[in-house]
Amino acid sequence: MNNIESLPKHQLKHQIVNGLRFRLGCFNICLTSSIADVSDHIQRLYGPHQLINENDFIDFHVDLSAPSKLRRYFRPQVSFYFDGYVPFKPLPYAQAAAFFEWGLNWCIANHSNQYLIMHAAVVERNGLAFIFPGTPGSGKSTLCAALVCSGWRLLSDEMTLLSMTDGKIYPVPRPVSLKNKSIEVIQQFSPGAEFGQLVTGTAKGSISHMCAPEQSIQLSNQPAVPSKLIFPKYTPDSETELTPLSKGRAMLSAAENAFNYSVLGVQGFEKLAEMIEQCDCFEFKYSKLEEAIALFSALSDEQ
Amino acid sequence: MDNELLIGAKVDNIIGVKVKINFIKLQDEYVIYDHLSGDTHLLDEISGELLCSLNTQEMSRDDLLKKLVKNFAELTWLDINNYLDVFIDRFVALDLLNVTNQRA
Repeated sequence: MNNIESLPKHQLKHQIVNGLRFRLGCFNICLTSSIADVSDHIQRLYGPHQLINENDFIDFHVDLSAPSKLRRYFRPQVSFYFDGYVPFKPLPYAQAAAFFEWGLNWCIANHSNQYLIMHAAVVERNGLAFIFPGTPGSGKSTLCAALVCSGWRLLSDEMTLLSMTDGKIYPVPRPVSLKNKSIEVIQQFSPGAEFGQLVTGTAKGSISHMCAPEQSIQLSNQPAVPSKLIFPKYTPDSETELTPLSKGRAMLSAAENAFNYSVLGVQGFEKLAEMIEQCDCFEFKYSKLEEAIALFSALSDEQ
Repeated sequence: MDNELLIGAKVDNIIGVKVKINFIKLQDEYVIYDHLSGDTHLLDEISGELLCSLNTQEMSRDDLLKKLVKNFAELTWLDINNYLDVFIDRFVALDLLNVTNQRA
């Protein structure tokens, strides 16, 4: 089957208007939209993702369109539809591409209970997954982007999918969402990195998405074994500091960071406990990306 | 004390786990999961050992004291008593433990 990038621009646009069906890690997506920013976003950032057949099962049918004809012209807005349902209030039209990413996060987090889903970036090297849970502003996406630009495999910058069946981490390699100063930091760190449109004035400030590496997308059917659970904290001008964290405390924090821990009940507890037992757990303070990468690369080589 | 004076018999508390719990020991801490509330709690080693024992069978307060004295000989009697009071209060408040009176 072909990739999205095999479609000429006009054909891609036409296909998105009629429903673009593509593979995204372990999910099948059908995206429908006639908004130019959305098709540009897909063209720039989703090129290596595989198109799927008409008859393949779709996990998430999503649609981005104006909530009414009037809203196409007067203070234009965009709504996110999931299976015909509107889970969010409309956003300004200019935020359509970012809305696609946020809406898809919501779809996965709320409808994939075959995984314990943590709000965490996850990258892989030497077959081992390093998991970085974090609240907004902790620097997890910046760290994730820098690691990915340094050759680590991207599994996800936003959600860690821990399989309830085999305890492995399953990839959803999507564009890395960067905010405000982080955009410039990564552009300077890796001038070759490809970025999508800069969306300003969102509730989170300015947002831009960095393209996931092609190799990460090609390996998106290969899970990784959880190895390190690291709670990052970006602290300006700080020394690089990796401090062991007790497994009990790490488990509590990981549970707090999980979207569906309470839904999964005791099974979620047991699967998380299993993961914590096999991971080394740390708190990590940093300000210099180069030092962070050198440290984690050394840590992954030790195994 | 009032009860002892009134009826001439010592009253002991029987303590038991009120709800189904799962627990895991991670290094020197315990993490427990309360099936009823869905809450997860982090416990130090001593509390974890006590709760695990109570999860197997009900025990009197005296038995718990004896267990603590036996397992944690480095603590004073007063420390152990205080510790046990705090332990019971904490987990009764969390609706995890049940305390009933029983005449010895």
